[in-house]
Amino acid sequence: MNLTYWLHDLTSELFQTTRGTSKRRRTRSQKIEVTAALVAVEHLEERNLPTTVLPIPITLTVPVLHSNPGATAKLYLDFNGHTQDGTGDSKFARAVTPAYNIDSDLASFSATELSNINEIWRRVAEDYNAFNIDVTTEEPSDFSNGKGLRIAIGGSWNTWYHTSRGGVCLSLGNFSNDAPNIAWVFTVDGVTKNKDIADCISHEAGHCFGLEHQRDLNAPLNPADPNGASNYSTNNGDKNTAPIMGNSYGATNSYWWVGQNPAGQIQDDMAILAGPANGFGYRYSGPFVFADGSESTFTSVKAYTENGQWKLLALDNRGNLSQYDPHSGWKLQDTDVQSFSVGSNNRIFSLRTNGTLYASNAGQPVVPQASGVQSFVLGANNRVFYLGTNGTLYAFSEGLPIVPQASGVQSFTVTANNRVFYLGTNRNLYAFSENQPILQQNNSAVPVQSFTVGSNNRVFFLGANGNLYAFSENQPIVQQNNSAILVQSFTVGANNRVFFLGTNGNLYAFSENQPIVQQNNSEILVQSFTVGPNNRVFYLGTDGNLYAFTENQPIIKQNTNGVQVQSFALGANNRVFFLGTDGNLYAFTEKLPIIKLNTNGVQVQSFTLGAGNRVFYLGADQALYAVSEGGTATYQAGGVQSFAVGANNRVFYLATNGNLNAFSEGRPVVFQVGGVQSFAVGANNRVFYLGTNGNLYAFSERLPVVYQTGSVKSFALGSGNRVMYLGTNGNLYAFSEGLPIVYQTGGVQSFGMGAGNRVVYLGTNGSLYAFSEGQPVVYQAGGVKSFALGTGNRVFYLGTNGTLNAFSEGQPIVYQAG
Amino acid sequence: MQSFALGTGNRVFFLTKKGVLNTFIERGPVTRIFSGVVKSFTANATGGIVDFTDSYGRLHRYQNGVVVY
Repeated sequence: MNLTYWLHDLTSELFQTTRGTSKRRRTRSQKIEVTAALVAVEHLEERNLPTTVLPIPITLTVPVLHSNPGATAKLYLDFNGHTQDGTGDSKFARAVTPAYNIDSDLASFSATELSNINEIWRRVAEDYNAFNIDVTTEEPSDFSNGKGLRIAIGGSWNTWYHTSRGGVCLSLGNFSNDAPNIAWVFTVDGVTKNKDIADCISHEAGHCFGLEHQRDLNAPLNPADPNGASNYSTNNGDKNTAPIMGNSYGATNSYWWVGQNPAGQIQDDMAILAGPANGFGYRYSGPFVFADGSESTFTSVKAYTENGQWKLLALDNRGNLSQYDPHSGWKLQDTDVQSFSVGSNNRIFSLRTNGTLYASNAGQPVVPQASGVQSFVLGANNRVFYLGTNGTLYAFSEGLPIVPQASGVQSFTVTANNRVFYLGTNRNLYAFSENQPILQQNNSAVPVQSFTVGSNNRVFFLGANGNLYAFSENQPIVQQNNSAILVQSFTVGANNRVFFLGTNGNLYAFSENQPIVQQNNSEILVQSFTVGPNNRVFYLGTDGNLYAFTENQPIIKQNTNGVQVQSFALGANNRVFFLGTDGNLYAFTEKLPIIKLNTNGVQVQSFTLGAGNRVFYLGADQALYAVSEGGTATYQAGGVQSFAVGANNRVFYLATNGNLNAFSEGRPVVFQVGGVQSFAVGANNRVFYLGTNGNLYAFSERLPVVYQTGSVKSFALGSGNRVMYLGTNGNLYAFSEGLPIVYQTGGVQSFGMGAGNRVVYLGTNGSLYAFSEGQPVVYQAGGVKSFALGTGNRVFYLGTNGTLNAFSEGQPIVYQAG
Repeated sequence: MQSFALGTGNRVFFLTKKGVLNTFIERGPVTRIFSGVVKSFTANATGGIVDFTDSYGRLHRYQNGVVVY
């Protein structure tokens, strides 16, 4: 008896669902469609087959098919049978998949079976055609993360899985996590038609690539049961189109979708597939080669679907925004663009470098929307929120008036339902929805340095006092760290797992209401860290080595080329860039070779990683260069003292003649101001500089320079654009623009401001102290002649006795040299 | 020790009272930069270059592991 009904007159759908036990799983429910006349639904039988398993006819010959043979990442459609052992889960302990088969002959593929294989492959290849991945029937040699994913196709769910399913992925995101890279599709009983098998393969592979289900937006949220019926969108039962990551069996066409996952969060399928966790990205035929032979580099690529056809929008490092249609190739959409976003109805919003925001559809003229725009976020229903160069936050919809929302805004983010959170220049955190009151979120007694909105709109913020807090709106604010260990910096990873670097140089992780767990070995403290996809952590140790780890797993040294690390940055696609102590710049991906980037022979003093993994570096020849992997370093400017890369790869540099200049690649260098001693670029490309006249100024490009204060010996710019400066009178002060200057302490010889706006200063009494604003000053060491504040707030000081020592707060002082 | 400076990655440069210019990273070996006697030195803003003057008043530059001139 057939175990399933496949009837076309759909009137209702029933799903049988389960959740995995020890690992998080995503399964594609088998669908039983019934007609109105059918009064009883026959459930799939839960039966166990004998313990002997079908032999695998490994001699079966599968036609060799490749959709993108040059791609490193392989999606392997395994039709000739596979046995998977050692998955780490009892249910999957020995998963035996016989060869794909629709007849009684297990020893060979019939003409129909070969035809089916071809059609299934073609359908899956079409689903993944936008990506730089090879959908193939030829078994790859490498099934490591980022390289190979196997979909074992064939057999019955009842042979070993014993749960009614079309298919199952071993572990969500297993193409990048530690579980084996495999999923199964059951073609004997789970899915039987070519189109359904192909949809199921793309769906299960999607889970392996980190996609969750697209939920039914008309049903109540049901995050507790991600495999529940309401978490398989059918696009309202549309028979034409439905999401691949929902239930597309009843629709003619299945697409990647932008909708909501079971938790109600926006899920852009293509963006996740092309995201850093998977590493393969989009497939496109760039970069452009210009008439002079130079090449552009894509800094941002976005996919969208139009009339059922995927297309790409790509922004290059010269500000060209281009559209790619697989049928007609590349077309220029806009120029001088610094950032862009694609909204509903495929409306493209592009912000030009002159601060004007435009809207257009691909192939159509751009229409100006607003000027004086620093940055913008596209909310739901194409509602545009933007921060003006005057610090005011505005919102508008095309064709409707621009409405001011709030003034004195440093930074903002837009969450679901267009709820806006913003950090004011007064260092308070606010939230509002349009036409409703603006509500302060923090207690004014604890100003905010920086904030992040995690999943479920949980807000984490670092207070000016060095403590980390979390809250949900209208709920209490909860301190997260122990006050004995203040926070230098923090990152909220996946699942609201928080990683923070303590002022004591140790790295910690926690989830709310759970213990805080130290991550590094106490023998080697942490200078800096970053958290990549799947909460993979990279950190630079105080021993000059770069390490990576996933919690509860070994810490692995990364700089395997024998070169110690000065500094590092984690770029897109988990690509790591570091400056070696040998003056060379390197890049690598874990477990892959380390390659040298500065192939022009010029050694590197310092570097900054910009958007699109574009690297800017200051050469030993005092010239500034930019380079992307595989490309040639491009000379940008000479006579450079120091530089900073702001938002949208806008480069500011201080020339040896004291002039401060700015440029975007391929565009003219623009003189900003002269007579500059030192400068820093803060949020929103706000520039603070100390003039040779001892005055401190701030400006944004194309806006007037604003005097801040005078008689300044030195200054530092902290997070939240907080300025700390040492007056010529030996007093230390802090301020934010437009707010009063706050006296901090006196009798200061020199100071440094580190991560988390932690201040370390040398008193005129020869003692070292540290404090965070509003917190007590803490004595650190005495008998100090001079000091320097390093990364990770590591303090080095020369004692009056001639010995050099180092320490992190709360940790022992370590003798270095005499 | 006469003086010290901190480079990127917390690399330390220091000058001993006897005029020996050294560098190290914590827990790593101390490396002498220049075989002669150094009178004074300065590290630039990015810490990647150290300029120093020897006992004969000659200016040298150290960058990324080598004395370049």
